[in-house]
Amino acid sequence: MNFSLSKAQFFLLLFIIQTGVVYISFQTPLIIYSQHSAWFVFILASLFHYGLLFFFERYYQSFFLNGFFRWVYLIYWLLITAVLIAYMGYVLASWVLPQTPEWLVVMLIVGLSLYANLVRPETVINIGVMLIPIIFLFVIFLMLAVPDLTWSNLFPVEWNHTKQIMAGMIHSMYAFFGIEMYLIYRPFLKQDLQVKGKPLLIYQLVLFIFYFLSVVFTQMFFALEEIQLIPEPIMYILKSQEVNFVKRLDIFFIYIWLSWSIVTVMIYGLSFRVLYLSKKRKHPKRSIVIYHLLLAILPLFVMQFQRIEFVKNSIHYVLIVFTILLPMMIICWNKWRGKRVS
Amino acid sequence: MYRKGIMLLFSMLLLAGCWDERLYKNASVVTLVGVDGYVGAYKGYYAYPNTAAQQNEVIEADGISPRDVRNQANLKVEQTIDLSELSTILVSDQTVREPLYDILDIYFRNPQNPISIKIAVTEGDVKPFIELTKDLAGGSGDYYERFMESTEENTIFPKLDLQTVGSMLFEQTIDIALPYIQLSEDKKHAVAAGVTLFSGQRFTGTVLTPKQSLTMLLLMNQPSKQARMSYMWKHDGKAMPITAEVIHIKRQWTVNEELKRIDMDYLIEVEIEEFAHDHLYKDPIFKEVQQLIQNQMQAEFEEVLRILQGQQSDTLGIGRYIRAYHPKMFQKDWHTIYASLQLVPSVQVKIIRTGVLR
Repeated sequence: MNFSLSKAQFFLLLFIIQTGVVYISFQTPLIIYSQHSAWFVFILASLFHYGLLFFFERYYQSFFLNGFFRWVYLIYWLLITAVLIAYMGYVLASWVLPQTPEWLVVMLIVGLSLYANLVRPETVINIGVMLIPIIFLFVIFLMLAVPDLTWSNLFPVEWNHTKQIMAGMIHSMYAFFGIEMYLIYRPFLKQDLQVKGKPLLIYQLVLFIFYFLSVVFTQMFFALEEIQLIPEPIMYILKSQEVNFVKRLDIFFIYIWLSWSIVTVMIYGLSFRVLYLSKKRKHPKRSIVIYHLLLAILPLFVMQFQRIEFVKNSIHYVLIVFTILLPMMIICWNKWRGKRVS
Repeated sequence: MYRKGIMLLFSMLLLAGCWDERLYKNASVVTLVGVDGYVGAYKGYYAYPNTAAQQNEVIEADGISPRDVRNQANLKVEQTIDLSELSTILVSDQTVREPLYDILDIYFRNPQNPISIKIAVTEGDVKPFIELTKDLAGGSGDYYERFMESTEENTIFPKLDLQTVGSMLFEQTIDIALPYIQLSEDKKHAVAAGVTLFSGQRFTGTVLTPKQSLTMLLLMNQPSKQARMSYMWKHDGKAMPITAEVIHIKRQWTVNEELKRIDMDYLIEVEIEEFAHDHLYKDPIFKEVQQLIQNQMQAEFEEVLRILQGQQSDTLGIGRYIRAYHPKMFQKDWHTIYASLQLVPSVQVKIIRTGVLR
């Protein structure tokens, strides 16, 4: 595939992949496992994330995928996108559309992604721009909860509780969702553009502040015993706010989150396209349609409470493998062999 | 081809709303709910406006759970009960002797139910409190919501909604104090009668009077728009009332972990709102009045702390403070530790204003 990215497009793409879908829920497992230290653990996790970005930036040219690993990632993205769609459908059914058939919701999400992925890649790349103002709205309306926050919930920080910190670090993985895309899209950045240094730092800071606010707000808003029962804490905070212009603020933001998440699904579709079509294929459009057909079917098997819980309780281990370990392994292997992305 | 696809998608998008469409014209929009009874034998009351008759209808039903009560109530109305506009829940003082969360779960679990609503405890059965709103032109729930908000502004009721109550119910480190309402003698009005003290999820059976409730809110450093205290000043054989309004509170707690003692220092700045004797510009009178208020408040602080500890009701959130800043002193069975703490209040009052008269 032939397209090029500006720095802004590249970082916007990454930001949406990393924050879409998981932003409303990743705080719960983090706080459950790291208790009062969650905010501190998240700072440590963000430092690790920054280090990882640094590593990827330095060695992205060695992230060459052979035929086998290309299929590994294609299947991984297909399954992860199916899980994301299932979760989106589940959240919609729980919060706003309890009576609407689940297959229809899935069809709508997949239909939009299919359309976006059948046209020029620039459509998916640029569609995220429309999300910038509404994502800001999310943060602004979260601020309404400030009077209800309890500062003492942030303490005590248990610095010497290694197990707790490690468990928190592992569950912070949700915030690193899709970071392997850095390696996929980095070669498409215009040749003369510099990313390391200030641009990378700014991206890291924006992502950190955006996530950190949500962690701190959740920690200060809910009691530790209570958070175990709240799967989507950010939506709950918004639901408990009273405003004059709308009775249920959460519905308004569920749809914002939905559009944000649909763009994430589209970007995963684009990544599939990029990787699959990096080799010449006879029927590229047919492959995209088949990919989306699978996406329309697979989520329907996951959209139940117990299955969603199972996925939530285990997906961070999958993420560790595919977003950190495997890319590092591939980079080291190719570095040793002297293979580079052309 | 694409255009057809887009049109198809768009029409599907429009369809999506149909299954979850809920129109107010097809629902009995309840604004006030009352709960009596206990698990297995609840009685519920639902008040909703009848626009044709310009009054409120009350539906009564029995059931094994709050949700079951609502199902039973649905059998008695011409349009399904809808709680999305609910503004107040009233619970009888007998019902809250059982864990409060038992009756609140449905409000937290169902996203259609609002959680930024008021909750209060009634003296005796809920029924007469619901029925007194029957002839009101406005919503029944709105009446109680306004009533509680104005009492909150007078620093008698703490500022709470269902979400904050729910959050505290799950915490060992802080207890709730819910508004307590009685009926007036003519049974036509609700009267703010103080706050009910909870220990964990259960009502302790103790109610603080409005004056004690105000003191408790000052101890919590939560004065609202108005926080007024009145005392009698005796001078030269004459008695003269003084009313002071709290302007600022500065609070400092010093914890001695070994002695399990907390020194609670309060600096309270007040404005004199009523003092017909006047002449506050005279230093001896000013100092005497200031001292009187200070002594009275000191005694009230001590009394309220004694009641709170006696009932193992940590409404001040001392547990939260200890857990956060003195974790070694904090233990899981917090209520027992709390009752044995040595809480030593020390109040210093400063008159900083005297109104527009000297």
